[in-house]
Amino acid sequence: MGSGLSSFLLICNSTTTAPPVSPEPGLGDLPESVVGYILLHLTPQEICTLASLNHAFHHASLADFVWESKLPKNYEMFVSRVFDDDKFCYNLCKKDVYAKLSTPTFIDGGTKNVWLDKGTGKACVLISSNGLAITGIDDRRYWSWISTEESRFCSVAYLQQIWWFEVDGEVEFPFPCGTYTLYFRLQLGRSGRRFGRRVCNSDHVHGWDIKPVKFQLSTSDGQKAISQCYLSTDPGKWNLYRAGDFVVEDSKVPMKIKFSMTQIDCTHTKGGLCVDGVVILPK
Amino acid sequence: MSLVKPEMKSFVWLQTADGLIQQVEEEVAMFCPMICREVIHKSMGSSKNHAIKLPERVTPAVLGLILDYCRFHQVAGRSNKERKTFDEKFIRLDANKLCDLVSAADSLQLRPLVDLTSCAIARMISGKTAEEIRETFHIADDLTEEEKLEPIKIKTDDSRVRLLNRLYARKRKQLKAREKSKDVEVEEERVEDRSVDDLLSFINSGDEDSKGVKPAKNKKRNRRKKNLRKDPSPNIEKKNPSYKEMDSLSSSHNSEIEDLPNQSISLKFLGYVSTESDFDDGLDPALKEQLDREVEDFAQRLNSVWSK
Repeated sequence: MGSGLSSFLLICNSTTTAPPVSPEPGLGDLPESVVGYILLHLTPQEICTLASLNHAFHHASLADFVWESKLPKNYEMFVSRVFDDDKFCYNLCKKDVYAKLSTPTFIDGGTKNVWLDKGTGKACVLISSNGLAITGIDDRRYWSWISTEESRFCSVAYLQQIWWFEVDGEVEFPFPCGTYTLYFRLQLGRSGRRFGRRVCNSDHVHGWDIKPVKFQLSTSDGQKAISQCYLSTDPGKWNLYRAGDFVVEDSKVPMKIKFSMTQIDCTHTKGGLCVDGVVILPK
Repeated sequence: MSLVKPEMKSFVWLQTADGLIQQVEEEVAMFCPMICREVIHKSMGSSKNHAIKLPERVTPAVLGLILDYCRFHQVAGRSNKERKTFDEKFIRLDANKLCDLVSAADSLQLRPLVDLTSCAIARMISGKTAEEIRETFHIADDLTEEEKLEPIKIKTDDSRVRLLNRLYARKRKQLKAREKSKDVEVEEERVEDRSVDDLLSFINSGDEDSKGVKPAKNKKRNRRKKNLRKDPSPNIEKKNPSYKEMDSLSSSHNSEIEDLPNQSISLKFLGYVSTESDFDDGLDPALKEQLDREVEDFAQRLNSVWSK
């Protein structure tokens, strides 16, 4: 019995018809499906880098299940908010959907610019000063519009001088889950180009060092943030002034956010400020 | 028929790809969905003669590891912390063993183990460039030239994408022309004061040169070929050192064939781009030149970024 068993095993061992495997099968021999599982754990940039590694990696990097995991859970809502014609989504593979959503797109009549952050898959929103409610914007004594190439929206609002400074706005957008920070993009002084060089005219800059500016933020689910700060007296530089953070927990409901920037102490005037708009970035 | 005592565990018989048959405790083996299916739906594994044939990728060594994993995790009473600690120790293997393990686990459809090992492998390769990974893991670059030059199909307004696609299209044309000229050279029976063999050996040595070449050098070569075409006398100030050899060869060749009436055909032998294909686009040459300049600029910029 014992000898029969061992001889049986010997026969089994000797009749191996398995194809000759190289002595050290490794990363290069993994099948496409397995490589897909590995890519699930890498960032989109890494996936694209590794696509040129070999055949299996190349094909796995095009797999839908890999990119579906990178897209935010509410990407369909995102697509319908950003693109009017959401039929394109059905024809594209998930990788192309991701690529398309990651490129900045203008929405709402050109007043907003949105895209997905490539690394984290979270939304980034830029709101132009056109889309904000600025007190006194129509009064040419106080505010004017200057066109500039330093803004994605090609024009910014410029304040000569005013007593009541208030900039409000609101946005409703299907943010993917995560924490986001809202900033105001501002510049003291008026920059322009002269003889090919960038120059900054700070003649009108005044009044920002007397009292601080107040930033406020509130969301539809009750989150609030308030902060105050003095605008930096560094003219000619675009700065992002942080208004506050908010957390999105339920991505199925579009989040509505109200924000404002005020300096309404009417004992002094302020001026010389360029307002590009509001920036919302993932933390 | 031998009596089976009630307190004895039941076993499942498994056969690995190399023919080795072993028996494994049933509850451990049933943790793998694939084995579970074989036992339940096909009633396999109950005896040595009906051993479940495991997929090819499961070698005995890897099977041992997988069974260790199953043996630990199939016990219901363990806490999450215990499982995590076990997992962390379990995946402390070298890259090749991890690859074997993930392959085998995938063929046995053991998803938790696949996730665990693929995460470990991802951590190993994260942050490295493709070249570094090829060196470390000895992976052959089996992508064909055509695959590498696939155009980017996403419609964006990004000019970089447009330029990149144009660059790729040009390289694909070059590739095709190179293939064509390889076929054509044997059929060409016109003029030669050199023997066909000499020319073939010259062209083949030129080809070897080109296979290891990066896109930037291809582009420089194209420019050189264009110059050759326009101006038969060899253009010597090329900065690329690997082409010095070709330059000298071609210049010697050139001087010999200078007197031949069908110089253009010989030059076709020298350059691997056929003269016709460049004007196939239907674009007028002036616009083509401008586009080509744009594309070359762009390719240069690309390479200076990539080389960082």
